Amino acid sequence: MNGMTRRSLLGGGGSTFMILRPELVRGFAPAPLKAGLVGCGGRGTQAAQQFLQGNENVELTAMADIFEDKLETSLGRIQKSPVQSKVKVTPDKRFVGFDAFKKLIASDVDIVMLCTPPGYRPEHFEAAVNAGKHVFTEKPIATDPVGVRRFLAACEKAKQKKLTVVSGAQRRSQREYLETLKKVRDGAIGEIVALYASYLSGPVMHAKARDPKWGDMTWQHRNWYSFLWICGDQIVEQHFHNIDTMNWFMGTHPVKVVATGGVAWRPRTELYGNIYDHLASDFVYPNGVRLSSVCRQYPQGCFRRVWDDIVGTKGRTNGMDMGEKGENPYVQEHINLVKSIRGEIPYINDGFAVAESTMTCIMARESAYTGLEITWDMIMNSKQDLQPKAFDYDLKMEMPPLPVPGEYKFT
Amino acid sequence: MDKPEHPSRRAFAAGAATTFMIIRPELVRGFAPAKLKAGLVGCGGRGTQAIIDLLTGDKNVEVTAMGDIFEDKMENSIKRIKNSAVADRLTVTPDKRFIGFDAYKKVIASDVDIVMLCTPPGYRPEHFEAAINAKKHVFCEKPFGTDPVGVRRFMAAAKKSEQMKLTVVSGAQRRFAEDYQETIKKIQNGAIGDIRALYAYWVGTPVVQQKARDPKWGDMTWQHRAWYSHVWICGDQVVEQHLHNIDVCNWLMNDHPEKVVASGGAIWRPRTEIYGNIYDHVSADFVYKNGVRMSSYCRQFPRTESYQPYQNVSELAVGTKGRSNCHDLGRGTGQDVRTKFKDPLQNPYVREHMALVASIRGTGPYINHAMAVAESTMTCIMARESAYSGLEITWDMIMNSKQDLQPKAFDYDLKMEVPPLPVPGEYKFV
Repeated sequence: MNGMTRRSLLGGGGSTFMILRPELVRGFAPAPLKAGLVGCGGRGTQAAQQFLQGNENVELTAMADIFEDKLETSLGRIQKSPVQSKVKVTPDKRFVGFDAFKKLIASDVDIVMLCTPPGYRPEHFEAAVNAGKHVFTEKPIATDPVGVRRFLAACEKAKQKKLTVVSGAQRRSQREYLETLKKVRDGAIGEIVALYASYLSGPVMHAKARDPKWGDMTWQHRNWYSFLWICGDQIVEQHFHNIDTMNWFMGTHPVKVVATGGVAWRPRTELYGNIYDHLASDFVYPNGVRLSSVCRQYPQGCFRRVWDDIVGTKGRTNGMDMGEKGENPYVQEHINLVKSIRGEIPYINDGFAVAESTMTCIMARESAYTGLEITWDMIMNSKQDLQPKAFDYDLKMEMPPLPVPGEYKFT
Repeated sequence: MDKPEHPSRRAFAAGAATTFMIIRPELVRGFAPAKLKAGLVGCGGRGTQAIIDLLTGDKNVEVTAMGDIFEDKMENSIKRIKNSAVADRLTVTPDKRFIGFDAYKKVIASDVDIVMLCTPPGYRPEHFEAAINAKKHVFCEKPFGTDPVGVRRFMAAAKKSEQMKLTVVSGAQRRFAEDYQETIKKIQNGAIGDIRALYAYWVGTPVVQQKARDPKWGDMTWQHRAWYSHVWICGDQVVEQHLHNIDVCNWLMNDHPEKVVASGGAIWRPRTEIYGNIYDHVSADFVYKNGVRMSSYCRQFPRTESYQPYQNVSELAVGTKGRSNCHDLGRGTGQDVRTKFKDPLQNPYVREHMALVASIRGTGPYINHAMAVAESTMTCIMARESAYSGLEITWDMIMNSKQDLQPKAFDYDLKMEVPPLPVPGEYKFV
């Protein structure tokens, strides 16, 4: 897997007509490594800083967003941070627009950091992999089954090309989780018999009101968390973390789910879009073990808890309580990314795992929206594609209604 | 609670002589008259069926009094029983047919041995208290209240009923299904190892009793005619229906949960009068004292020819050595579908009444499920209040809650507001 030498690569390249530029391939990382950020919101800005903070001989050389103000704010923040010396984003490498991601990928970067809202992830990831880039991809990796499958296909390509893929599922880089997982695999809590995951938190609102100047598409991006097509709903966008942990510990994904949800407090107004404010799922893994999952975003004063419970025949764990505290996982994931690219650790490709976890979350969402039991086969064959086919700041976009079981159609 | 004891007439008489018991001997266990007389309070579908089941289970029982607030309900009930195989033991003379908000008092005051409490659950605490004060044996439909004040009132009367050795059987009929009884006993004896997780499901269809409001009906009449839609009288689905499954878990654990976090809402129920102010789904994460969780899911989604949502009414216990649906380790049919009970004596809805009569006569073990099912009712209310408020609710909080949803005046035309659908963050837990 790792430790590929220049010689073996050249040998392989010679015999199989590899078309990758050698400097992009694992073990051949040039120094410094150049990264480009796609999606300059809060998460992207922080991810870029953590990438620069965790690694030597790395630079941020390009940035892209559909909104100029977002890009400027982000750049300003990074330039004022302790990692400012590693920021080399010249004005011609600041790309704004719906095709900004393409220009950034085409610029001279080694790593693409995909940090837009999740609806765009499959398209961006595919483009990055096609261009032979290593990728840091925020979670979730899509909002619909067609998107997840597109991501998976690109992931397969990345694997063939030995492109490193690290996801924003930061627990996978967190020492406490890694050490606990090892102990659980070694039998520390016996056989796992029940799983619990909860993400009970407050609402995520990116806008307070709609600026009358904003066209529909601009509005739906400025307030993206409220819109299903681009956000995926809370269970996909946020509760993903817990469900991914469960899949990771189980070493597989559930085979079916029955979920129920709704809006108990969210007003049915434009600002609140068409996502649910609570959703409870009863997942079943291939061995019959159930995952009881609850997520919700309730107003101030309500009970909050982000928490997991893995119950075994001989004990229980929250997934991290048998491990030592290590480096900040949001930094560690970028250290791992760079080390994998440089061939200093085994090759990392988290893409498949987080794609499965994203699909697991989508499976539960579709169960809640429809009132049906949804199996893994059903969701893997679903034709649901929520993404717009045209892009323009002033594009007219209808908002689909809040999903109501009995009316909502599973496709 | 179900410890078998068979006090003989002699032993009782001796006890009575030494302790100056003031209970009328004919009401006390083992002193039942040859023919037991039962009175029905609440003549709806459930009450009517309960009477048929009671009379089916024992030939020496007759029904001598009936009470309801609606005359048409009583007429229909009588008609249905008259058309059944047990018609000959419906001996309710016209002067024992009581109509009105005080009808229950008149049934209790009539010369009956058993009171069958089958009204909507909001009334249960008051009716149960009156029946126990009058020293009657009781068949008591579940749940045992819709609010904490009511359940505590029920619990106080339950203690009294135990002291007086009155028989109390509840409509939580799984406790009388042979397959459940045997399975629960085996699990408690270690058949699946130590319990690690419990699951309770009532994923079903809505109970909508009225298609529209008759303009002649005043508010209180309307809220009774469409009682399932109104929290004060129904309790919401998690209390009224899902109690069955939660009660099985409590029965198995021989305890109630210590706390709960629940969420719910009305996702398909229209915000119109006939749908009232109950939720159409609640999910709850209960925790017992020993840390074992019960994951509970209930909902009522409509079912049509073209839309078949998932359905599931069941329980599941997961242990260190196996798992059980709580009725697969025992004899009997055990399925909660009436039509499957070909032998009526295997039907838990009949068996519960046979057990009632045997307990009264002293020919079977003494049964008093009042406190156990009151605790299960409170467990359900705890989850409902958690879902409505968005708070974690502990057993102590709910046992000290001042919530009292019952009206203080009763009249067919009484003006009654419908409180709004509960919204977490706005709804106040009291």
